[in-house]
Amino acid sequence: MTRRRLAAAVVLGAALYAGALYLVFTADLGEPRALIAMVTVAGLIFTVTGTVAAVRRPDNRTGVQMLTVGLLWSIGALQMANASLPFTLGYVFGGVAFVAFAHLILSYPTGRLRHGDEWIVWAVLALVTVGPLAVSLVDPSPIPGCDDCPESAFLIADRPRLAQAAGVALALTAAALSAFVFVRLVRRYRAATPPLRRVIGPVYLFTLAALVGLVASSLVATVDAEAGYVLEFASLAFLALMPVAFLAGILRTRLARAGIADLVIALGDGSPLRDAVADALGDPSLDLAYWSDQRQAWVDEEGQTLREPIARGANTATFVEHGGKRVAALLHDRSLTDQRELVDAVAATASLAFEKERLQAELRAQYLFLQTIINTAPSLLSVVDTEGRIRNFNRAVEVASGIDDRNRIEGRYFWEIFIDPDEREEMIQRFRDAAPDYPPSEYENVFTDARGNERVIAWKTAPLVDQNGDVVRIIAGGIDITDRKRREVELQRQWNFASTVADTIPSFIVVTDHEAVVVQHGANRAFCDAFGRTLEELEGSSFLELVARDDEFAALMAIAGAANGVPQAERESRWLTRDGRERTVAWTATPILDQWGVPRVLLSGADVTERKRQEAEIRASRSRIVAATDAARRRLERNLHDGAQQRLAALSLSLRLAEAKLLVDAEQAGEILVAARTELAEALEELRELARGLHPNVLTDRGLGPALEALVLRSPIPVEVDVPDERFPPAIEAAAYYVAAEALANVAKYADATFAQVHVVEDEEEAAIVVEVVDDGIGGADPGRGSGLEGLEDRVETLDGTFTVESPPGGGTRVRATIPTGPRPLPLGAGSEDRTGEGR
Amino acid sequence: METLTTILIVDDHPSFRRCARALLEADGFTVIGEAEDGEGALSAIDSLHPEVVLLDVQLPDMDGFAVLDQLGADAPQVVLVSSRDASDYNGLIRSSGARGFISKAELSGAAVRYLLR
Repeated sequence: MTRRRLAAAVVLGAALYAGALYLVFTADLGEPRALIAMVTVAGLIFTVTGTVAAVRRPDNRTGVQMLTVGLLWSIGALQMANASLPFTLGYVFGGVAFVAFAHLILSYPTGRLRHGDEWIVWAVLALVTVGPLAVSLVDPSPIPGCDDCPESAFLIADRPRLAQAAGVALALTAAALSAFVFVRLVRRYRAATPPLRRVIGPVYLFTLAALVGLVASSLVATVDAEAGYVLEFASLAFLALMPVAFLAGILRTRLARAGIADLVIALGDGSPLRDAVADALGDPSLDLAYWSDQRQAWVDEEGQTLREPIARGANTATFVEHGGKRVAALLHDRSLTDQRELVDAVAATASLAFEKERLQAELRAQYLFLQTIINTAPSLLSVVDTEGRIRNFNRAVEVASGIDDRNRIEGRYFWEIFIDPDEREEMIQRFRDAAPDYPPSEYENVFTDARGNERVIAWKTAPLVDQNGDVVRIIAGGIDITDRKRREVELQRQWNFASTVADTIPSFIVVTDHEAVVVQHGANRAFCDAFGRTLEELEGSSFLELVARDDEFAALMAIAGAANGVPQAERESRWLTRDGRERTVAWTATPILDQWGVPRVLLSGADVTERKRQEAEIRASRSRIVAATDAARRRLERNLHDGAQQRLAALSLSLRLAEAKLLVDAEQAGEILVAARTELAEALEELRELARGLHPNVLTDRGLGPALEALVLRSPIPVEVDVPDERFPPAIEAAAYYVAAEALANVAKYADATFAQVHVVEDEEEAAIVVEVVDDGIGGADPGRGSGLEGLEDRVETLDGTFTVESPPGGGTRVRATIPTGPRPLPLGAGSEDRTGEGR
Repeated sequence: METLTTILIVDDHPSFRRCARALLEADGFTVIGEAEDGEGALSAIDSLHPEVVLLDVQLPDMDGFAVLDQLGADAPQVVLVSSRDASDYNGLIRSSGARGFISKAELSGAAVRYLLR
């Protein structure tokens, strides 16, 4: 409403109420004068307070609405007119003020009618116009008990019963509407926040009292005019007080400003900021939020981050600035937006305090942040006083100590928690020795935690000094390295195992880089021992220098191939010992990663020199056996051809000659046959001798003793035989027999001996039999000169035996063969090769 | 064909030489000499000029084929003998220049004459 219109309304109101008061005091009203005066004064109060409200709170429509109520109220004064028409108009339209009143009360304190409340206003309008009009049509005296009042100007017919019925209907409808408004206001009050209740409470109270009184009075008046009068007077009194309540609510900001002074005092007293502000605003639901520059977020007093939007429910936020910077937010009741000035004044008054509180909140936020970091960090952090008591610690300390209850750690001596009993004395002494400076230190300690688990902690400590330089606390930071230590031990164990294996296996192990340079610790003991090298001289030198020149290139290629990730097949090379001897090594080159993940080449090999020598010897021995066998066959064939075969051929000729001579010269034929018989006997003897040379039958049938005894019978010199009676495997008996036979043959042929001995002894300890043939001849026998001794040596070695010949010149000859009799384990790599000779 | 009668027996076994001499003489040959090895054979051929030589293949110093190789153009007819079978020598006999081969057990004057025919 513009000031001009407001001024016009004020002038109108002044004129109306001047008139009305004139009527009240000039008309002949009798006793009701006081009542009517009260009615008029109530309207006047509405008009005045409405005007004040409209002037002081032009933004709020409540003032205008109050003014409207006051102006319309004055229409009712026409009822005091003595003329019929003004009286009737006053009677019929005097209630229109209630329409404005209904609007006023329902829209209070914002001045805006809520959605859904419009119909109530319309219903009131209908009630206050149609009702009195209907009564005025049928009742000549529409105001009950007013005998002096003029007659209704709108009277159509005097129908007292109808008029009474209309009056009752009007009252009942008014009561129903009032009840409806009553319920609505009660609900609204119950739903209101405390600050809002303080505003609407008095208004609703007076309104409800007035409504109840008016309705009751109109109801009671139909029965008892006197009682109705009293009730109406009382309700009018409430009605007259109601504008004051309205005005107080509207102007409460002005009134509350008095609280600002209290706020200043409270802030000076150091009262809690929130409480002081809440008191000043009259909003116990008030919350405060502070802007954290660091987090760029709103935080509460404790520094906890608030979620947006920070104002929820019935609250709304008013932001507080200090020095042009946003510092805080008041989260207050939405009803306080109606008191913007108050809120702003409070915000301005407390802005410095807000800034201070904001900084504190920021600090708390930082503290919380640090606390979170400290508690989530895996490192142990502990603060110990100069007596050694734990004063503060983080979550990691609890975990490492195995004690979940903080109270069981706090205040305890740190050595009670982290040092095993048997080491405590030493630690206490160490701690005391560090006083008073407690210089920074580092140490590792192993202890058993409260759960019985062994733990290893690496600690670092540093003193914390006060302004005087005195140590007040010692800060200890630790890392739980239990798992790391365990892995280290495990790795060390694995390494030790691998090293022990590498150093105890007979195989050679050399580790080189891709250029064949031996790396640190790159050779095992077997290699160093076999090749006469030290680890120190091998490390950093080229492995190729240890390889015979002819094999160097192939070795380089193998190592290069393995360095490129290709495992190499086994090969044989000659590696050189320190003194230049060659050892044949069967080896492989394999790509590996060392403990740091660096690609290396693992050379692993075995010394096959002896095996190769033995293989060569076996090959030579086999060749000799084959050659000897061939020679024996040739000899047999020659013997057959030269001996028995010739004799039989001659015998054949002799028989044919005898046959031819038989008829012509019987005597000559007889001589020929006699000669032929002699020839045949000699042929038979030769065949027997041959068969005996192939394999003596007596050896197979009766064993070594009888065979050797038969053998020496044919010897040209005396031979002494000493042989055990027991039997041995055929191959062993045969070998022993031929050793003796060949040796005795040599004695007969070359030794020029007069006596020989054959001894066969079983050596049970060695599981072997020993055959020894000794003569007293000239000696000087050499197995390498084709005397048949070499063939014997091959035969004996085929049975894993040993064969020796001692034959010093002039000292006789001693031939000795040791032939194993027990089961012999097959040597590695022998396969299924038949080395006993039995299968041939 | 002229009948050849003088013969030289070459063999290292005395018993065979004795039997062969008796047999061949009984069959009409004149045994003019004996030799027990290759060298002896060559020497006897040279000195005695036999018409036929009964030559053993296996001799102590050289075999019968080697003796044949050393004979000159006017060499006597040679019949090889051996206690082995002819198949043991395969093609050697055919290429040796000898008149033929007789197994020792099969020796007879008729067999020698047959080869010399």
